[in-house]
Amino acid sequence: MQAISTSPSGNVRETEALSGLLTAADPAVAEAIAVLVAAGYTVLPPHDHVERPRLSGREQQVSALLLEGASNKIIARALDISVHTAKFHVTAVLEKVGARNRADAVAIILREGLISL
Amino acid sequence: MSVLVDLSNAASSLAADVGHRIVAVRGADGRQLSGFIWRRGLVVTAEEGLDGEDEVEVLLEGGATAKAVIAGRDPSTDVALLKIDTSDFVEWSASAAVLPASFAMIVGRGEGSLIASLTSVSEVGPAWRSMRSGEIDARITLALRLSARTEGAAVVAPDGTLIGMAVTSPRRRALVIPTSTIARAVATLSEKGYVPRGWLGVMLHPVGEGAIVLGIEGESPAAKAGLLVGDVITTWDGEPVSSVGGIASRLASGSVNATVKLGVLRGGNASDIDVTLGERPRN
Repeated sequence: MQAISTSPSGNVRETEALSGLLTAADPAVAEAIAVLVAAGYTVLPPHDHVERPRLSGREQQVSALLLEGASNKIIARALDISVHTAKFHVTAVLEKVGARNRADAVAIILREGLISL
Repeated sequence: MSVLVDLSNAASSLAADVGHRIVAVRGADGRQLSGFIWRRGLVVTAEEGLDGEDEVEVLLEGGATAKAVIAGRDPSTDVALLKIDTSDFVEWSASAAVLPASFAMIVGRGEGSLIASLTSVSEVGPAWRSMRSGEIDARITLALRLSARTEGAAVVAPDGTLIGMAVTSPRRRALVIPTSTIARAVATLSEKGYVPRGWLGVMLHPVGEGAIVLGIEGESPAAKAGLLVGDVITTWDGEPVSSVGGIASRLASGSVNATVKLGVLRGGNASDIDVTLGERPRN
């Protein structure tokens, strides 16, 4: 985590959260953030010590379909998986983002930028 | 005294007049909400009330039930469209001016009978964007709370025209999705089966004064416009965007193919970048 050691402002809590973010991202992204941090920018996670949920690639695909209101069957068809597996991924997304239902999940995913926009 | 009696009778007959268009919608898990026949063969209900199923059961006037296929769902406006065999219905006409304190009636369906309440409109505000980035034509709230079974109910004006669909706001108030917004969602859903979303192709993370670009998808509108990882997006067509949600909400279906001017901070310097938005890929 070269990025962290060059941060002029990082206290311990900030550094831990930031390293979580960086390991989740592409190495090129981590490097870019390192450049920013080195230039004196502060890159902070959304909340001081709340972990940003990390969605797997499959969960991001499922999330993108949830945005369109896709049913489990449509998700299954789009991703070429079984309905059972689609349901499993949807449940995982709901749990990770802390949503009560699908609509709630859509709102959280958009607000937090958990998928590509 | 007779004025109250007359009012009460008029309210009951209004509910009865529209009752043949009002349905109950029951999901696979037994959860029940309301909906209404939009025009022949199409039922509108609240998207948020449905689970991940493809088919639901619809209870019609007179106790008949029918299977309905979910033809499309739009989480951004909370409109779900169901296909069902019905007799002939003309498209519901939209209410003209709705004003604060205008009377309104919510009409939903329970097991065997209508669930109807006379209430009033409490607020009529300008167009707004929902948390799920839907463009809602007016902010209309009602002076009552909905029960789970009246989610998706029709909100009817005293002249029998449709003000919109009743849904519960995130703050638990009864909110109306206006008829014009429903009509737009129905048109898109019956044509495409889904409502397209605008697409930049960036992974964003909130920072103090905007959103930082953490990743850019190849061949995306953002890549074509020359956005770079590390850019901080601070404005959208001159308006400040203070959060990732602010950007997400601007990527509503109407934004597809629009060109927007993004204000970007790069290496401490502010510049404007024009991006022509695309349609979000479907998988």
